[in-house]
Amino acid sequence: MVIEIRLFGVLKRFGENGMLVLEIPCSCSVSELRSRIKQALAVRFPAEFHTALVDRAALADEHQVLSEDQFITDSPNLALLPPVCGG
Amino acid sequence: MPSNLIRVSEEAINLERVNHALSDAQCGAELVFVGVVRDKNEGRRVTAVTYEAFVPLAKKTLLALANEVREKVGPPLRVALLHRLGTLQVGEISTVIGVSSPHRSESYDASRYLIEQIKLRLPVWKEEHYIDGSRDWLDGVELAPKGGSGDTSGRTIIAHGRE
Repeated sequence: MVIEIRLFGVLKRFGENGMLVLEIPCSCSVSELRSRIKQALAVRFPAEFHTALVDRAALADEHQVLSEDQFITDSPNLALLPPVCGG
Repeated sequence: MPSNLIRVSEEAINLERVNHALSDAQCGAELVFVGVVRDKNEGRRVTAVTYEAFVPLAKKTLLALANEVREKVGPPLRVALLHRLGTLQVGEISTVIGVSSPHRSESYDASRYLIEQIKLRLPVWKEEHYIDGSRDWLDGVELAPKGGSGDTSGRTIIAHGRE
């Protein structure tokens, strides 16, 4: 399935209009999705992208930060969240 | 009146509205923390800060924090949590944390808890704009799943103490 992941902050420049579009298996864990994101961005931005940017980011939907062993089975409102600094 | 005022938006923060939300005949203490964009961070001259948020999760996080702090210090407790988004100039208000409670100790405890948790958990990011025209996204705290852990200066305003 094709999913869209919203990008924020320092990650935004790696998407188009702040969105990253990826094709993933119908049942994909957060951990696997993270690996696929890193692979995709390393190919698309070989000079600028560093895997640590994604390693330090959290995958989330509108309701919660997702744990690595959760599965993404449909296409919720996903986001990749860099380290936060609100307030 | 609802006991929480929660806002994450580009709308300018209205302190009168915050005070109104905190007003309660049971509450003798009202405490309002105001976060303001300041002009220097780590030796660099800042002219503005752009804030962005994952808004649905940010609102949910603020609501969770309001519920947590109420459980922590005990009701009655009125809570106002507002974070502004967009590009703010030096001196503009970015964040307001308001609480009111029967006595001052609950308000001080609640206010401190809320600002510290917001810094750790709220999905908001800051891009500082510098006087030389450059811009940088600031580093921050890595988010963890639940159960797992341009800068602003703050001034604390005690609006009234009716103890």
